[in-house]
This record gives sequence, C-alpha cells and structure tokens, in this order.
Amino acid sequence: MTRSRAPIGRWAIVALCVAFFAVPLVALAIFSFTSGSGWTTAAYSAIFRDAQFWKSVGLSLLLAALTTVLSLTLMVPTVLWVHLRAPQYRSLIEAITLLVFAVPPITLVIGASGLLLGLVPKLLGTPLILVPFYIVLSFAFTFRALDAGVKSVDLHTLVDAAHSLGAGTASTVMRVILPNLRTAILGAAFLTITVVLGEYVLSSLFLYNTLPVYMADVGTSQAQGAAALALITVLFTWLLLIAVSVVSRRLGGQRVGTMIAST
Amino acid sequence: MTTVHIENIRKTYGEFTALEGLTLDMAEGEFVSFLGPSGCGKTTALRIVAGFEFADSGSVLIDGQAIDGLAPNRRDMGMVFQNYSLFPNMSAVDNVAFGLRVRKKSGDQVAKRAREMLELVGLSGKEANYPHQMSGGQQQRVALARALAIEPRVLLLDEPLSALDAKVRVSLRNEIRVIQKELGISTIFVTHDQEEALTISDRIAVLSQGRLEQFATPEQIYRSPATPFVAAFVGESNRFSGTVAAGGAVDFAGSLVPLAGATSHPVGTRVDVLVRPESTALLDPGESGLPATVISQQFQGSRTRVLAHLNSESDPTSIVISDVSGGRHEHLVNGTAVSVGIDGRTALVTTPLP
Repeated sequence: MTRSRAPIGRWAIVALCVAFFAVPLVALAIFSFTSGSGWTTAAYSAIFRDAQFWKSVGLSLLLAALTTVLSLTLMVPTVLWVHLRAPQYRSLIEAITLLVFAVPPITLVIGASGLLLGLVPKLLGTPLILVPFYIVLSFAFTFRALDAGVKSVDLHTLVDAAHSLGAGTASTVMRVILPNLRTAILGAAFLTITVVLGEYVLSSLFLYNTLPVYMADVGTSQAQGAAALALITVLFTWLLLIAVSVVSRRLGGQRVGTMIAST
Repeated sequence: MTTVHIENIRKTYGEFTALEGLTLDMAEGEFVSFLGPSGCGKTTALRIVAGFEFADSGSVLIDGQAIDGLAPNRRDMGMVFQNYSLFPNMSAVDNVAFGLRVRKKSGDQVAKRAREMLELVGLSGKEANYPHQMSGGQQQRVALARALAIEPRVLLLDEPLSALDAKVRVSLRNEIRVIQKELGISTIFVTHDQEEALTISDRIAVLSQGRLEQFATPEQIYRSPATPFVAAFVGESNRFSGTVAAGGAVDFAGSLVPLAGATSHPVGTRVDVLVRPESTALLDPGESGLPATVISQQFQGSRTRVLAHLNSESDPTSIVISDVSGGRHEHLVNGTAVSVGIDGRTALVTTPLP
C-alpha cells in the first residue's frame, strides 16, 4: 500500500455515497421534466393547477402545525421533569415513546380510534382525528431531540444558579431553560413536521387526502406527475431544514444538523 | 455583615447518613472552609445552607433568624458552582446582570453594577464575551462577579477552583480572598484540597463521614489536630506505636521520648503517636529518639525531605519522613545512622488507630 492510494480510496467512497443519493434524484428530476417528445414542465403545471394538490398541501401543513405545537407542549415539560425531578423514569419514558413502532398501524387505528371517538366524538369525520396519532408517532423523535439538547447543557447547575440568583420557576424557564434549549426545540419541531409530511399509512387508513396520500394517488395514474411531486417534496423538506438551521444559527445555537444527527 | 449559625443539622439519604449533628457558628465577615474527603457531607451542608437540600432536622440561622422553610431564590445567597454554571445564552455582562434583572432593578443601575463587578474580578473589556469564548478561570471569575452582584448576605463557594489548572487555581484563590476581605462578606468555601483550605480560611471545619471533626483556625488544625482523622487528613504525619511510660513519656521499643500528650493516657497503655515531618529532627545516634537509618533524600526547594528506616520492626510506619530546611541535610547520606527526635509539644498521642 502506498500513501497516495489512501486519499483516492477515500474519495472513491465519498463519490460512491454522493452517487447513491444523487443519481435517483437526478433521474427523478430528468424523468419529471420529460415527455415522449422532449423537455417539458407539463407535469409541474398540471400539479400546480390541480385544486386537490393545494388542498392536500394545506391539510398536511395544518396537521403538521397542530401536531408540532401539541407535541412540544406535552414533551418539553416532560423532558424537563424527567431530567430535573425524576431521572429514574427516563428509560421508561424512552421505551414508551418507542412503543408506537411496535404496534402495527392498522391495530393502532382500530384500537385507538374507538377510544378517541368515545372520548371526543366531535373528531369523527374531521381530519383532525389524525393529530393525536401523529403526536404519539412524533414522541419518539421529539423526546430524543429534546433529551439530547438537555444533556448538552448542565441543566441542574443552571437551574440551581438561576434560583440562587433570585429567579423563580417561571423566570428560570423563560430566561434560562428555554433559550438554552432553543436549538433542540427547533430540531424537535423540524422532525415532527417531516414525520407528518411523510406519513402515509395512517392517513390513508382514515381516508384523508394528505400530501403523501395525494402523491400516491397521482402515482397510480400519472408517472411524471408523481416524480414531480416527489421532487417538490424533497426540495420543500430541504428548504425547511435550511430555514430551521439558519434561524437557529442566528440565535447562536449549535447547528440543527449536528443536533439531529446526535439524536 | 451577616452571621451564620448551623444548628444540629442531620441529613440522610435512605440508609446513608450524609450529616449527623453538624453545629457551627460563623462570625460576621468570616471565611470558613468545609474541608473533607468526598462523601464527608461538606457539599450537602453547603446545599442545605443554600436551600437546595432540606435537612431532616436542625436549623440554619442567618443573623439569628431561621431560614429553613425559605426557597433558594429568597435566601439572598450568592453561589459559585464547581461546574461552569454560566448561562451559555448570555454574554458575561448579561450573566452578571441576571440576578439584578430578576430583582427588577432599573436598567442604568443594572448595567453600571454589572460592569463594576466585572472590573472587580479583573474582566473589564470582556463584557460582550460569551461563556464558550472564555477560559475556565475567566468563567469562574464571571460566576463570582455574578454571585457578588446581588450583594448577597452570604457567599457560597462549592469547589469553584477544582476544575481549573494549578496556576490559575492559586492566583484565583488569592483573588477570592482579597475580594472577600474587601467586601467583608461572610463566606463558606467547600473544598477537598487541604492546602487551599489552609491558605485562605479564617477557620476550617474538617468533616468526616457526616460529622464535624474539628472547627478551628488553619494553624490550630495543622498544629494541634483534635482527632486522629484530622491529623491524618490534613498535612502529612508519621505514625509511631508505643507504650505510655511514667512521667509523661512514651516508650518506643526501649527509647523513652517525653511527649506532652502522654499524660492524658494511663501508664502502660498502647498508643499511637502522630508527628508532622517538620516536627521530627534527625539527631546524632545516642541522643533521645528512635534509632533509624537514612535511606533517601528528596530535594524540594526550600527544604529537603529525608526518609529514614526505623531500626525497630514493630512500628506501623517503618519509614519516617523528616523535613529538613536549608542545607542542614548534607551529612545525612544514605546509610547514616540517626536518632529520630520528636517535638513533644505538637505530637498527637492517641489510642491505637485501626
């Protein structure tokens, strides 16, 4: 083995990885812009003209927003409580957040919807019935993102320091805890949004036309349209990631990318 | 100026007794160190004073008033923690201003006071720096400024120097002492480092297994340790076994040495004698002392440490450590026969240690 070969080998691996991710996307893009006779944007204009597309986007964004807000409202206090007051329950809660993946979606839908409709009958017939399911689904991601964020600061000492300086609980949460968890909270929000925007099984079982369901429908009839939609979704997700990353860097936090990677 | 009175504090965690009957009084403006090995209860005691832990029984009184039910944020105590506890999302000046802002002081007042405090700890010009842009020593200075900014009644220091490197530790501890004297603030300093405690305290409370072993000035702690634990934990000691003889002397395998502490033990009982290295003298053989042979010399700058092997086999410490100042060690080459003399006034005579 000569020294000069090592970097070539390394570059080959990098190139291979890039190709692994890029080739399908490039192929997808090329396919979405072609028709039998040449280049065209017909698939895109068809999608943007379709009222159902906008309805699905609107529904998915609404579900994502509701899920994110509610999931964080539940999870931020839980993670803080576990770390500050009840560390013995941490692994239990971690296990609970994973439980949803052990239950087949159809079982979840049949079992939980019966219970939910008994408790909140008004949810019947509205797509909002999906929100509780998405919240449970997002717990695994929000818990991990927040947990990693809390672990990266010495929360106990910071809280003690704030108290000894005269701050009450509300003041400590607002001035010390939340600002130091901002990046983790943004990361959790981002993960929740992507979970909701990508969720297909539950929404199709409930017969609601969210973006992924719409995409699958289009795919059955228009091949180019489905490719165009897939590309739009990928680009939209990237834009979202960049936006969250830029916002958090402005706020002086660590990069969301590294934070998500550490979860 | 504030007095602190700790009254018969007891604290247990399940089966473990962290503190048992801790009682001590601090005068106004006094600098008191809690010294002891890890697990001795010193940090627990500090956290009870701070209000982060609650005692099972007993009481903490500040200026004569019990504060046991008071939450930490109502106690007016400034605390510096072992781990860097600065708020990472705030600059140095905002960290220092935090306690003042919580107290709803006016903006001008806050900014002025925060800047003064940073100046006091020698960090003028670093106001805008964030914690991650500062060294460990600078961060602890900011933490000190932050604790002092609220004009606390008592300053609590929880091993604030233990994460710093040796040089910074020494210079910062001197500065802490200067600032503390200047402000005249009553201070409790928790440390496991005896040198630190000896150099900066007015008085030291030595703790072991939740009990107060001795509460006295550094000099008293060092020169006349009240218990064998203090003698062994603070500074270094030689340990000799002997039998109490008549006339205030101890018989070490045939060598009679007069020791002030011997009179408190009945004649004929077995005792251990603890002696500081500098309270020993390496005399000519034949003079009163324990016969030994020099085995090594360690040059330590202002003094030389000479190790000698006791000729008698019965002692627990078979190697004697003796500190000789100046150049008076030159004749003590390896193999020299000596007689180890003991300063009878400072040696601690105790029942045999385990």
